[in-house]
Amino acid sequence: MNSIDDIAKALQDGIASGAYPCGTRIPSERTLAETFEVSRATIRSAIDILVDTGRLKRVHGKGTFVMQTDIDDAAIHFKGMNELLSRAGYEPSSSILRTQLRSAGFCLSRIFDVPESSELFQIVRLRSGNGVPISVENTFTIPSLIKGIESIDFKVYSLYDTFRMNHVEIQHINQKLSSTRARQSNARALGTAEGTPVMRIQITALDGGDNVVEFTDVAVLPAFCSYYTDAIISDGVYSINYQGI
Amino acid sequence: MPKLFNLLSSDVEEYVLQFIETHGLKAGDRLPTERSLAEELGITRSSLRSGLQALIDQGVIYSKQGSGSYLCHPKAVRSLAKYCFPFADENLANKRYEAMPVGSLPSDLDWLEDYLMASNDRDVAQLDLFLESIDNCLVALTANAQSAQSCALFPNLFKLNNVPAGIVQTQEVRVFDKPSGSVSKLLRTREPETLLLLQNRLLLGDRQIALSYSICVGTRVDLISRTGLPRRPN
Repeated sequence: MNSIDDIAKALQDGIASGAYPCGTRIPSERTLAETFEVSRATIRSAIDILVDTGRLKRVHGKGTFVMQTDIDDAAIHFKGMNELLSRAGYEPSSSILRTQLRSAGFCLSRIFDVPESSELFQIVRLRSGNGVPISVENTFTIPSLIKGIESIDFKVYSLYDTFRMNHVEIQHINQKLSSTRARQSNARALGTAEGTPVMRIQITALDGGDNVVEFTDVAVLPAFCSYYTDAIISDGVYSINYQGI
Repeated sequence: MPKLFNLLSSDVEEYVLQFIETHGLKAGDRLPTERSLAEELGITRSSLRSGLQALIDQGVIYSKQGSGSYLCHPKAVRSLAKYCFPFADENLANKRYEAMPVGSLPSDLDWLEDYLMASNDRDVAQLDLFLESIDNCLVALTANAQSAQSCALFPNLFKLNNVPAGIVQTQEVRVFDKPSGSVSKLLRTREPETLLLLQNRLLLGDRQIALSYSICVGTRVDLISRTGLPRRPN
């Protein structure tokens, strides 16, 4: 195997198989040249092909990143985050702090465009790496979208897995970043002092009909903001690393 | 509203937000006193205070010692993708955006110039330091550094009303935690307000041609992005 097209195909296969996961770097040109036993120029040309199709993106000073996969699935939303954490040496884990049914109320009724009295299902999740708290994710969804939602073990299944199994297809994700401070139960869960500045991310997931299917309010500790916000902007398209898009 | 017991802090937040909307409160308007709010909700002053604290932390209301709580300016909305290019940001189209030059780097920000130099391979032909405001509300202290090549190609890079084709940006957003008296003074931040740091590296081909370093008041701005997921094939 030595032609540029052969190498491009090998890289493509590596991406599809998950050997080179989304949001992470492929090995350096020098390493790839050694691995495939070709010149660096051949590697560079093969990478150019994948850069042209948007599958790889070169980032000066940082390497070449995998930007898209064949997996058309919103489950990549969580898989991408776990991959980023693993690669950085953090064993990802999460624990469910609470789940409950509650009425939408003033704020959420406007986000979901439902009556204030209608019920929403809430999941509060603590995300950790190597047992160190990273973020608290407060998620709300419409219970009727998911069969038997109250008996699902969300430690085993991510919300995106359950959406997929119930044929709920997420088409768009809107994020709103701001800052706030960790207080009381959030501060305790995050293991940080009362009043610690944290990043706040409000994530809204919409289906193909522009209906809000999920809303998550995240508080992220400063040390871990990179996993949630590092992004690449090219040709007007904003691609956030952990979503691997 | 009926008397409720064991209200969560989030319930207090909801009540106050609803109050603000139904009474059409505007920026600078005073909220009812803590005593009357607590009475209305049937809770203790300290329970009320944790709900109010959350709204203060988020930049929705602010508290004046001895005087009460007041509604803040509505948050400005900016696009993350166009953060370095405010004149290309459709969210700012009907707002009053101003960039006011800051004469010289205050002494406790000395390290910033070295940092920008080092980050741009010591190739900084132009360095602009300025305060950004939207509808008369200060939102960021921003330093933009351009290489010699980029000054030649794009003389007013950050003032363009379209992002030039071929430019790729890498972006990092962090909590800004380097304490600095001059930053708080320049941005006129109140004690509970918190700051974010946005760094954008602009690349043309393989070369970094510019760097934007912006300290943004996270309690006064909402930074938004929208991502579309690929359609599943049938």
